[in-house]
Amino acid sequence: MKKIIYLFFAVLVLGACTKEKLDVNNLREGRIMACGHGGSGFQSYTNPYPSNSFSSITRALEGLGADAVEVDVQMSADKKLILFHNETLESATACSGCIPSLQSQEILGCSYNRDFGVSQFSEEHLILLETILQRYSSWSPRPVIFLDIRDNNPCDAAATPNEDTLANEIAKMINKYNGTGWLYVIADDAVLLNKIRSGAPGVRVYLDTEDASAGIAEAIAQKLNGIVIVNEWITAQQVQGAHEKNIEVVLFGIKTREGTLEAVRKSPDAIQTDNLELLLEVLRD
Amino acid sequence: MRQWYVWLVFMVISLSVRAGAPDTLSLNSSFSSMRYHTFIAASLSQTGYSTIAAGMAARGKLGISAGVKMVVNQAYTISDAPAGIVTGVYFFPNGTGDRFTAFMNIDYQNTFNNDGSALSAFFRPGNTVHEYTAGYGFDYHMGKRFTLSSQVNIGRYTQVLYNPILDSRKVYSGFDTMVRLGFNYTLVR
Repeated sequence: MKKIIYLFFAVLVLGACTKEKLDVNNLREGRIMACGHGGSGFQSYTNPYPSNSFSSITRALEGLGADAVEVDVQMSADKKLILFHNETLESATACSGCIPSLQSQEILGCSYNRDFGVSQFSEEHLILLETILQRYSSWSPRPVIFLDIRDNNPCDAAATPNEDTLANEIAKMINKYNGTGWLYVIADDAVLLNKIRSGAPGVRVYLDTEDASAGIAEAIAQKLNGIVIVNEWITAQQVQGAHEKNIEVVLFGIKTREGTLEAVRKSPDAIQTDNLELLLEVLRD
Repeated sequence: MRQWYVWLVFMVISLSVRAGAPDTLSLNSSFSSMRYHTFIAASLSQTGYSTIAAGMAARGKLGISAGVKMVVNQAYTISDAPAGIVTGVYFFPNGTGDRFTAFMNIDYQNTFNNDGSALSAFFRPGNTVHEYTAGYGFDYHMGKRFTLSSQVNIGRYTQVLYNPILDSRKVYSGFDTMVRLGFNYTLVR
């Protein structure tokens, strides 16, 4: 028994000494932006807040002190910008249907149905993008909010919003809240990004890509600000190559300790994480 | 609300079971005297995966425990890991003499997470999670000193997040569930 106790304490002592010095070399003067994916991270047993919900976003920015959050934006039939990730409402809420084919009044009454008890005494409903912009536009400095534009919802192809209309509504919202310095736009379509940028000059735009090399090349060709990619799909050398071309790299798909450290070692400019507490702890030093 | 019904069903089962083997171990030969245990456990609750090291003092059908916990899934290094205390009150309705014994417990845990030092959290404002749960469990006595223990609890958590930039506290709370698997060693019985 004594041996087991000695071994236990030896592991504790050795474990305490394994802090790694992480040198970051990126386009943000060595500082990685800590960003909550869908608010304070995508929903899980230990992070029960529905992604894109009001409590998840405020918890990340006001509670945990994140630099940024990423939210998913869809447009309703009456051209309101609503925060929701999934294709269908029934996958996460008490409602059914698709956001592009419904009126905003129908959607905003929908409560999340997988809140793992967060709503013990209250309910979380879907919210407008504007609700969040109103809250943080008066902050100084303002937190960065990545707007991940979900323009191709296959749930109802007939209701897919017109790209020009969508770009116009997003640009209007950015201009209304003087958002060129703190609202960053993500989309998987460079044409859409350019349309948004022409409506809101100066806004930072990022290409969501699954192929690092092709994404970086397209970002350079289209003069975009950066790319957004899953951590496992890009190497440290590719990140460095993007930085040499003045292209920022935002990584996501990160939750574990190993994944977080691996992402930080690549020196990205921002990390969208599902374990915000851990990322903040790693970046603290 | 379905979780509450499930919990109640299991509670009734745990109270009614004097499971399996007869009292062949004579573990309660000193039932009226104090018994002391140490235990290590792995736990999953709203704060995440934790390791627990604690001690328990028991007499008759009642026991109290106290110890420390460390949250593993938010740990960069062990010295920086969120840590806290674990306390509980145990009630063994059928005593502890059988190979299988059931118990109920009330449990309080907290976790502190601060600027790189769990200990400093006690002295400076930081993030704290309080968990108040009640539940039931089973002990499997493998001999006179070793016991495997499992328990399931439900209750409520309150997370207090301190933002030093805003100098503000935000409080989040909700439904909490906890499962724990542990290994007990009886020191004195």
